[in-house]
Amino acid sequence: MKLCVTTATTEAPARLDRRFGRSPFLTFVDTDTDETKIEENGLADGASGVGAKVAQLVAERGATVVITGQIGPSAFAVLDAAGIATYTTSATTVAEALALFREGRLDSARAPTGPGHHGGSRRR
Amino acid sequence: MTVVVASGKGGTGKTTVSVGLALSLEQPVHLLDCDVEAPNTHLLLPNAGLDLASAQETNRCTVPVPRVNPDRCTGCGACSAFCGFGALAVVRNRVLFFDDLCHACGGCSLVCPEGAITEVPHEIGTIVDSHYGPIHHVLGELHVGQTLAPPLIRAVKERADGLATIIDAAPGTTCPVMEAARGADAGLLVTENTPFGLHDLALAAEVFADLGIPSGIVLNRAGIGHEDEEKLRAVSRRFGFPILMRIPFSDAIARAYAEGRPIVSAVPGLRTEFRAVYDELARMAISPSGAVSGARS
Ligand code: SF4
Ligand code: SF4
Repeated sequence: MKLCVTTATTEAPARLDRRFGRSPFLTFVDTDTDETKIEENGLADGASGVGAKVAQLVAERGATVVITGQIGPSAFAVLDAAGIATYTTSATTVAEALALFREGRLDSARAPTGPGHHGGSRRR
Repeated sequence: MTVVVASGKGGTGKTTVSVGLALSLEQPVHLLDCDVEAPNTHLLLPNAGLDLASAQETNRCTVPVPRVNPDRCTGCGACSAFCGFGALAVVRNRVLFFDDLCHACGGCSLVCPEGAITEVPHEIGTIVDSHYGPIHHVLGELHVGQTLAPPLIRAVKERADGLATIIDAAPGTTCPVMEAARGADAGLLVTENTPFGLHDLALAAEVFADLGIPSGIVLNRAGIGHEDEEKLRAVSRRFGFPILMRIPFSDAIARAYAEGRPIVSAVPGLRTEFRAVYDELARMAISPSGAVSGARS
């Protein structure tokens, strides 16, 4: 099984980024081989639709589980359609989140945890 | 001549100025409400109470969005790779479409190698035309949850045909403001003399200077105290945008505000002042002929 954890920093201890989509890195962990790969998220600074694009990338990498802090509606819809389970956590490090997941102590998200973000919305 | 009325922030009296200007001209004029997320010019016109809901059937504004024919789609992913807005995702050979992210650019239907994408109209808002004496009033209203203001703003602007035109833009310095301002001959920036007001005025002035639109400043609620005249003049000098009018903070005006009446009906002398502002803008304008210039973009 392949996991993807949204990641903020790569120096140990790698920190988890609470934002799905905008996290600067994505950590992929293959639970069968314990192989870990950290990938830079080249889509993080996009202006629009970042969540949906990153979700598609995660699906292309073959992950079946995403661990993050919060997730918007379009990203959630893409992951859901791809059959990827999303787990949310308030853990601050990647290692802590992985440990919680292995112990079965993370909640799987059944719905997006927040509204989508559209670039450049007006101020009122 | 097309004048766009803008403000760096909401609540400065921008709409009051747009409507006041239109009511003062005493000539046929288009008043275009391009603050499509929260239009409110109709509330300040003499026969307020225009029923926005009643016009929705006949004046729908739509944009073309993709619809995928699943029988033709091979799941190749070309459409989603093309879409810069993340509005299309292909997972497990199925295309997901997010209409709230789509900018209706039409690109996906062109790049689909299977011809699986057709375009269908998607309603984003409504346009309401009405007449008040010499004023032709056009109001655009974006549906709740829709984010694509620019096409609706363009559609509203298309209803003006070369007469004097006053555009009420959204507050702030966002993309819809630029869309409203595009092609205007002159700008009018409404502000209050408060620290926040002047800060936001400078941001708006920067946008109008960048767009190359000669503009003037209207100071609203003048005389409320704690005003920094020198700072206001500094912004004016920095951008070369003259201070064309000062609307005092008077009892009569405050009462008109509160009752939703146009201020020109409360303080008769204001009409003359508004006309002088318009004349001054006409002198500064890009095309002083008075014609709406559609060529520039
Ligand atoms: S029309 Fe343009 S923005 Fe909309 S889905 Fe197609 S490519 Fe994306
Ligand atoms: S480009 Fe056409 S065929 Fe390819 S996934 Fe998109 S809709 Fe399907």
